[in-house]
Amino acid sequence: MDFIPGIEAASGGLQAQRTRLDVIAQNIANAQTTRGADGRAYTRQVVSFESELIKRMGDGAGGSPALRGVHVSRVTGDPQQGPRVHNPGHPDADADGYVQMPNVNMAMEMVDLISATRAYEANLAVVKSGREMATRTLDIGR
Amino acid sequence: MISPIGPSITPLVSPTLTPARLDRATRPAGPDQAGALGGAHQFGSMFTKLVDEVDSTRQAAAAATQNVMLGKSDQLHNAMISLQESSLALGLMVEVRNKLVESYQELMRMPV
Repeated sequence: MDFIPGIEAASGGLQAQRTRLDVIAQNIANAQTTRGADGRAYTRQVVSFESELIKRMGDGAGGSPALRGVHVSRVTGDPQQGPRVHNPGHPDADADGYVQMPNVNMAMEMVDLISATRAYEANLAVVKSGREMATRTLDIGR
Repeated sequence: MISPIGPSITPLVSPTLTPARLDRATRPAGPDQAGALGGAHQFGSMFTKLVDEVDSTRQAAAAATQNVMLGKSDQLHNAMISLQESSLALGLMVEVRNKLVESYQELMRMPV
């Protein structure tokens, strides 16, 4: 049933922002990880979104408007090089005493975190006003 | 103007009328009767279907919430959304029922 207007797109948006928040949490948690499964420092992961067709409105002909939602298309590594820190006592230090640190920038992750939270809230606002519209419509009967 | 209503009014005021006959008398007589009965039946089944539909949205919401609670799913927003959908469906059903009862009472208040 499709009682609440806009609910499908907003639900997809919520899911996508959730995934984004998961990835940001992973980046922050691994900000100091110098050795991963491949033996190298952690690489910052970036989420990219992709719009997906929810349904065609109208008769479904080629020119009819389409309702599009969003989903996470892929999570890719940030190719930027992280800083090299001189720390000869570190177990992952190379022959010159330098440690390759992850390319996670805390300030950037925090900004991403705010942006993901606000985007999630925006989708929640859509859900709320959709529900409000449906409730108001039921009030016709009173 | 009075003659078409006359015959149907007469049995209503008759003191010997049993409930079953009253039931028959209040329905339109003649060839229309079968159609009217079918209509009533159709409406009843439509309302039953509506109730079933509302119950299935309730069950879906309960299943989604249970999955989140049991940790089988992390889609908290989908559980909340289906709860809202089920509550709206119930609201719609209650509105339909209210309208039905209202129209019944309106008929019952009709001066005979």
